[in-house]
Amino acid sequence: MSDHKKENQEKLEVSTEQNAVTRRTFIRTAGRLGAVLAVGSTALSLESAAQTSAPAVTTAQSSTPPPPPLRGPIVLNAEVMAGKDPVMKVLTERPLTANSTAENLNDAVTPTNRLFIRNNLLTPDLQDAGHTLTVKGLVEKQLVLTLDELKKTFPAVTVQGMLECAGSGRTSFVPLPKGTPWSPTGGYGCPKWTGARLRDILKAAGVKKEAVHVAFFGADFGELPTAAPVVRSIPLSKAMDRNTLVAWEINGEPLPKVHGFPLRMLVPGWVGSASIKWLVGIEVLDAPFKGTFMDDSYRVPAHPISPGEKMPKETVSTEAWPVKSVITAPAPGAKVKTGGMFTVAGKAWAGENSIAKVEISIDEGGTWKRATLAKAGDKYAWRMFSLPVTADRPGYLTILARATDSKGNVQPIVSTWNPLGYFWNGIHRVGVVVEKA
Amino acid sequence: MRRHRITAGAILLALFAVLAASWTAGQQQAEALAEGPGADLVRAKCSLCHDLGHITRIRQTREDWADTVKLMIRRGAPVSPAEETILIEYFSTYYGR
Repeated sequence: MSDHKKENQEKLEVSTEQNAVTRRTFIRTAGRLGAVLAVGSTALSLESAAQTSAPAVTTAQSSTPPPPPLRGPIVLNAEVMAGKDPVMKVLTERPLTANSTAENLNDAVTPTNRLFIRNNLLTPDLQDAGHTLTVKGLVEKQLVLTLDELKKTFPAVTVQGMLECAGSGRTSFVPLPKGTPWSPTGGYGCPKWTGARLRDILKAAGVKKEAVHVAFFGADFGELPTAAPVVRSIPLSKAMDRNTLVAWEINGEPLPKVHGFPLRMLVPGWVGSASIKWLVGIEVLDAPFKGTFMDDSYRVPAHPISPGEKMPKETVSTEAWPVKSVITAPAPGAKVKTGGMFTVAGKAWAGENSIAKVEISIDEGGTWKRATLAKAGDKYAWRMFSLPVTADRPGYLTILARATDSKGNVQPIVSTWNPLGYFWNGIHRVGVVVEKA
Repeated sequence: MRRHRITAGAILLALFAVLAASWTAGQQQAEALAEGPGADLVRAKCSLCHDLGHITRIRQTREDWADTVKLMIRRGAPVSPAEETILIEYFSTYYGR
């Protein structure tokens, strides 16, 4: 074969390989993410059919071998979403992410079927039987606990606590940073969690004095065996907080599979990624865990940079959320009457701090009125606020909410831009239409 | 018996509808990716793990795209050095800033 011919032959093989891979990818996607449970087995046979009908794939030399089998059973996206409220919008299928916006998060306690979904990999179909939690690293005594042992050994506590993805509200940033396109008011929730205090478990294991960080390992896995595992660690001080839980229940029910069944971390008030799902391991370390989900993701510039600029060398890890509030009522586009009173309501939270006040403006921030705060609940729960408002002229009207925390931090008009689009906490505005009474 | 046949038929029909819907969704996603040298490679490699929307949604500088591809390799993407060059060229051409 001449060099020219050989080159063409190679090109052909590469292109056949790419097409075949694309096709396989599609079939796998259809099989794994199809809209009904029954699709799974059918798609599997389709997948093998596709592989036998394309023998060129197996002979072609390529750096991409056929996709290997998954490491374990998974729950299909369609099955996950069938357990969710229809107000939930799927943002990405792979990995699965879904959220709903503020007007659908008006409940005092976020219903489980409206809690956002943020997977990094697939949803593993875990069983409680045989599931264990290992505690190792800088501890006096390594522990391996079954779920029963965990529940029997440590007192169960229930706390209402904020869970919010670091990228919550990302689509409000300009230019749009990469990552999950969370809705401007999506990507957070405040359910009630039940579990053991992490500190009780750590005390039982005996934390050595060199301990600095505590890392959490989940049982989730990706499409490829090479997919990096999602491991996150938090400082020992936060690990020892009485509200940091190894949780097995949400709103009084076992965790749904997509939310970490049978066990997950809850690190309330902090970026959601710390609350590792499908928890199987805890490791006490003398430094933050080294891994791509610590070193490449969940970081912001140490000092603000221009919008669109590259991530600088000096960065800090994302931890607690800054002060933030959202208006949950009225809904955008709602109709109200002139002279009639309506209630502006919403939620405010502030990571490690508490909410000092929330103010409302209906004149684009010219004047502000203090809203009434509901009684404070658990430390990391959001605070509900409300204010009766009267519109005295017809037409479009914007409502703004601005929260201030116990340290005097005020919600900004626009959040500081950062390359990965974290910590959006800009003032929320909702437009309504005032009609003549 | 008859009821079983109807049920089976309904399941088959539902299956077909679902596969058709997935196919359409897949096609739409594939069409949304800009055609050009490297597009097939993007479909073959990047969609092994994630939606292509993660790419088509954003605009980045060449430097940022190079960092993104390197990051994906660190996270397990099976991409050779030659393919890395093609991908960076493709992304900065069609999704550059």
